[in-house]
Amino acid sequence: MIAEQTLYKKDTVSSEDTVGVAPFSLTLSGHGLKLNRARTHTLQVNVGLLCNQTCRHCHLNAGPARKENMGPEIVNQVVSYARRSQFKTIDITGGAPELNPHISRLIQEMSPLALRLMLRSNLSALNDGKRDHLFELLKSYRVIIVASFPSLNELQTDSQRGDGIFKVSIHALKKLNAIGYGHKGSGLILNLVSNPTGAFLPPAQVETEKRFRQVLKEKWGIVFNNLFNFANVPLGRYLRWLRKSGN
Amino acid sequence: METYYNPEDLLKFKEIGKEVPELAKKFFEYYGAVFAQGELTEREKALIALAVAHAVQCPYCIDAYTQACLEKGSNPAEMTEAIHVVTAIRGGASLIHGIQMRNITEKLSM
Repeated sequence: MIAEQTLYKKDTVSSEDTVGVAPFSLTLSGHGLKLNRARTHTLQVNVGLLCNQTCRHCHLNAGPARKENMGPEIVNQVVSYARRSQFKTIDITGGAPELNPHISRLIQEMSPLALRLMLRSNLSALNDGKRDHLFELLKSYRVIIVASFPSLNELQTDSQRGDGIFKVSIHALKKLNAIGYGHKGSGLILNLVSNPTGAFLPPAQVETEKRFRQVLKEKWGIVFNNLFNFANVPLGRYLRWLRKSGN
Repeated sequence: METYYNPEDLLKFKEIGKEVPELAKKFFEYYGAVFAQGELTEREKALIALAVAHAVQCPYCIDAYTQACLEKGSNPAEMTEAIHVVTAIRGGASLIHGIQMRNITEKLSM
């Protein structure tokens, strides 16, 4: 135990992406717990770290300068793996997955392989004026869109995600609504994700969803299906911001 | 520098029950019940608390309820508006007493 603790202390000093908590495996063994692997129902595919935004809460440090983007060979292998494994849900994320040049093929080939195909979108990459074909593609394959929308407040949103992102996001949500997304009975699911815009925990999800539904409808005529509140992960860029801001 | 207000004292609030635990217990139970979801949401109650904190000018309450408001999903614009409500009431409370001043002035003046 002493040796493990010493190692852990060394790790916390050497890595900027640790927060001074014990490794998960150490905590589990300390409580006499053992995790057993159950059947995996969800395949999450991270197609790369390239993103048009540099969000301050991003624990992956995604951004425009990142070169890591899934190439065609890996796409083939992922599709082949999904075909062999039969997942209930396939969840495509990034970076901004819309910026991967193979995203259309990935959606087309993954769609028949699971009950649900989800795409995480920051909305601004989808709505950058160069990818209008993706709106129709997403609709035709009934891809569930999981869209980042942290706050009803423009300053809070832009402070987390970059100048102008709030307005672009509102425009993108309206476009998605216009092609059927978010409307009950359309079969086109539009879910929102809200992350705290600072060093605080997220509010209660049910209450937040109710308020977002009311305000988005009243102010912009926007509808959506579900809202999820995610806590920020204190790693990467977010950890650096926490330290720099003294939180 | 030593000051009368110390942020760390906020975390010691429960210690107020050391000498008179029964009353502290009743107070904290009541306090918890007041801020639970009722006809008003927890978010709305936190906004009221933030506004009142500014009216009574309690730095502990301002610290606690700024954090609480953000965690309940309020944004800085809503929080600032809440403080303007307090400011309007405080200012209005002074100004309405001006009518007393006018009444007295009228009585005393030729």
